[in-house]
Amino acid sequence: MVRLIVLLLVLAGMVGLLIGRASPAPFLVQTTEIPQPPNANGSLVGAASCSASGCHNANGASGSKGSEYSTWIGADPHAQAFAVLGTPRSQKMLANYLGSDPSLADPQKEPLCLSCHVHPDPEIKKKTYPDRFSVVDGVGCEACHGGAAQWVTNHYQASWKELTVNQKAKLGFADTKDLATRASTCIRCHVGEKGMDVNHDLLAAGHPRLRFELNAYQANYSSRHWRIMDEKARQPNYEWTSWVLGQLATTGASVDLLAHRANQKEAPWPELSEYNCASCHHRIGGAFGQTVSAGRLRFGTWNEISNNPHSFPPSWLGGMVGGEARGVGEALLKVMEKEPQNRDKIRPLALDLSQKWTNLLEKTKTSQTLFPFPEAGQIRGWIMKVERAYQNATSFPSWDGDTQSYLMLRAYTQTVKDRGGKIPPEWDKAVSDLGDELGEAFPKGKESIWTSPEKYDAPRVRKKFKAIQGALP
Amino acid sequence: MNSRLNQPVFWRFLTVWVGLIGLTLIALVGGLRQEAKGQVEPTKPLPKVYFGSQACASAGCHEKGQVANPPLLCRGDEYDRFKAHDRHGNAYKALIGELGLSMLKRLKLGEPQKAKACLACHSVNIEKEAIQHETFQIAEGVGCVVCHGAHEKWVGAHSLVLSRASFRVLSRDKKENEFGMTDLWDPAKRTALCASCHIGNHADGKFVTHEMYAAGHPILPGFEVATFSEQMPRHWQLMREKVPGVQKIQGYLGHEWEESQLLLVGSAVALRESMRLLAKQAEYASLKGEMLDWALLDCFSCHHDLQLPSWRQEQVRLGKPGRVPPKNWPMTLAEVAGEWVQIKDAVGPLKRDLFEATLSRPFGDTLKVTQAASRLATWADRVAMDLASKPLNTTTGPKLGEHLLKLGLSQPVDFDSARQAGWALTLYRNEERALIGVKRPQWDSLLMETNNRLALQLPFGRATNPSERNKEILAKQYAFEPLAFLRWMQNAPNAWKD
Repeated sequence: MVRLIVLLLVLAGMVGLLIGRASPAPFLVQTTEIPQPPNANGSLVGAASCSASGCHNANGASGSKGSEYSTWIGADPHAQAFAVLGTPRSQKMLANYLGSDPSLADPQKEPLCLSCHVHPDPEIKKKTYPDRFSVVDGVGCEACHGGAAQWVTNHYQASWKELTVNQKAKLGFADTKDLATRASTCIRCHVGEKGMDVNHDLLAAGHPRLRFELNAYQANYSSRHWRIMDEKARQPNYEWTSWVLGQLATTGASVDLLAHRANQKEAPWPELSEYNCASCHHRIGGAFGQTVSAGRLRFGTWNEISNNPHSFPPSWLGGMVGGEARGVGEALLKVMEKEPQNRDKIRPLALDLSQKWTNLLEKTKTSQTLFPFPEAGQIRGWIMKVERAYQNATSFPSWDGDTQSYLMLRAYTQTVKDRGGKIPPEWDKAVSDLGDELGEAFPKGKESIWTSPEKYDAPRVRKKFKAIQGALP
Repeated sequence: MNSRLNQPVFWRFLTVWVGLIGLTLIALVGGLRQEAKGQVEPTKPLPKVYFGSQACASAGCHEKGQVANPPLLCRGDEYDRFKAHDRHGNAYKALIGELGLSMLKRLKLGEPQKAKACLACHSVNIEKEAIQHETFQIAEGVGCVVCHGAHEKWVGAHSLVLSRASFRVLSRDKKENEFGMTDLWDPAKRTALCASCHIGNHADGKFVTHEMYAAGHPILPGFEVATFSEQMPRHWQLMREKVPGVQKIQGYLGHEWEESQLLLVGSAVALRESMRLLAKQAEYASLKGEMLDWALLDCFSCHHDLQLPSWRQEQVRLGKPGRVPPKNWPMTLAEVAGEWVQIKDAVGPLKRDLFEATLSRPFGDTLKVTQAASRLATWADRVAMDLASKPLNTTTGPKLGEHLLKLGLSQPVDFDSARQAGWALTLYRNEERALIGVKRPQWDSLLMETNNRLALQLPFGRATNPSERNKEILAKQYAFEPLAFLRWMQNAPNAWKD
């Protein structure tokens, strides 16, 4: 009798569990305005879940509505991210990194590689893949749009449109239409974070360096599965806004990464990828642009957090950058360059700066009007500052910094055009000339992502900036 | 009529002579008295007197045309040779040239004649108690006494008619210990002396820091004493070139392979000196909580263009990528020299320790580097002593060639290490040809090509602009690929035999 009761209870429990599992996820959640990180529950259903022809696989023109999956699978390098880990080059890279025999290194199983080449969710790293999810998809839909288990069956229904952004986020859906959210999604891999760190060890093992700028990446992302004209319809200052938000997100992520690196005892230190590559990687005797690093590591690389006037985002990007963060940034720059080995001194500054940037980015979420579209005079002021910095013995002109300035000019110019403004042809030409000059810094026929701009010539670039100054309306 | 007396040169000669005679008489009375008693007091440091090179030239001894009869031990035209070619005489000029002055400014070192960090190698840092002879001129750069010994006792004794015959027949030891004439015939002593500048010496304040390099100092190439001596060019004769009477006085037996011997001992001493410098600098950094001075590390591990594909990702490496190893070249020859004398303790584990200490974190674990470098220095010192006790002779000399073929054959090496191999093989081959006349046409042409690939010829002559030659060398350096060079060197054994 007792046995029977126990058996019934167990059965009841099992039925209860089954019912519990089968019951649909709560669709309507309580309204809360605290932003929720997407992917919080990490339930992935795989890119195949999006591939019904009636949904995102219409096989239409690249980037057209309904053909998002077709575009991605057909042309997007993100779809190849896992496959590339299977190449001999990747295998060699990991073997170099681990110091192991190439035959023992398997990048397709290495959590460090998978976190960016498949999905940043730590569950993936633990290889607990739900049924429909496959690592072979590479960087699939859910890596950016969020784990879809709780919204895949609902997001096309009318009721979905009634949900707020945060309600959607709570279900795991990322609002990638929002440029700040989009930026914060891309930077996880394209800048890096804890457990997804392309540090100097990995670069030296053969990994290409990370050089992310949101606006330029989107403009050059030929296989994007959405249309920029739609974006511009939504956002009149689309290019400028994505440049600004990209810069902020990138800088914030760099600061966080530095804080993480300084804080991890087992991580290498000094972390050389925090420094401008050209401060060491220049030819002895002049080439690589006659850069004068004065025998020191120069802090601040592509993702600028230093106050190097050659590359720091202009201070008129809201008083906030010039305020609380700048002071700490300057102190950090000093220690990073004068005592790179002094982790104990760097750690608190980096953590402090990281906190300040977190606060700053919070503010930008609520008010993007903090960064109004600049007047031409402001741009001119910035270019003058960049140009004058060449005379300053302590500044360190570099391809990275100058290219960041160029990308800003491009975003500004395009936005003026998008707004129906007029750009004098000489100004347009001067900006393209600068771009050509920077492009020619690379050896012919070599992919720039793998090589150093060894022909970068600071005095020549300076002249281009001068020409832009002269051509400004 | 009195034109000769009116020439300032004449008066300078006269003063020099009077001075020398005076100093020597004092010295001789003391020195020879001691000889008579047959006892030697414990060596006291001799007082230092810095003579200018004119003291050696104008005394009518080492300058051609002023020598009626060639003196016994030397050939009498050393100063001419030095003056015509030797770049040591340009050493100070380098400080007051365009580059030198801009470096002084960048490094905030002040006036060139007071910049101790530079003068230590580019001329002389006169110690407080040292005397400057009136012939001394800072602008002469690295003059005679810098290497031969800045002491009046030997300068007087070896030159004066009254004493020089008895001085000549003294042993090299006596000349050095009692008279202060540096025994440059001793391979270990010569190498240590040259290495004090060409590698660096912490105690002497001779060290080209990374800051100096960044300010524009040319890179110190790897050092190989026998080749560098030859390419000075040497102003002395090899023992085998001297007349039999001199050979007898110098204790030459007639069967030594003296240059190859210098090569072997020199390689061990160069490693010892490199490691002593590294250990001292690492200790200093460790105490101060600083990084190892980057000048001690392999320049081209950082200073290279970034490119893919690149041999850097293909090579077998110790430790993590992206870390900077120590300079490898000092180990190249010394390792082979150690094998030659079959020294018991293998250098392998010691070398591995040093690399691990340097690669375990960016710019090295200074405490571990100190320990590892000290152990390697001890090892190298033992190898040097062992090699010195077994000079190469007619039996062992001819066998060394085959042993040296190991150089650069076992693993890919960097440009500077490859140059060590190139210099060693070339030097040995030249001595082999001179002593036993073996014909190796294939080998000789392979060496010629190696010479070209590795730019084995150093900047030559006082008139040469070294920066031009350095540019050529750097270009070869940047074109150098270790794996390709290894494949090239694999032709060596066949070419040797043919």
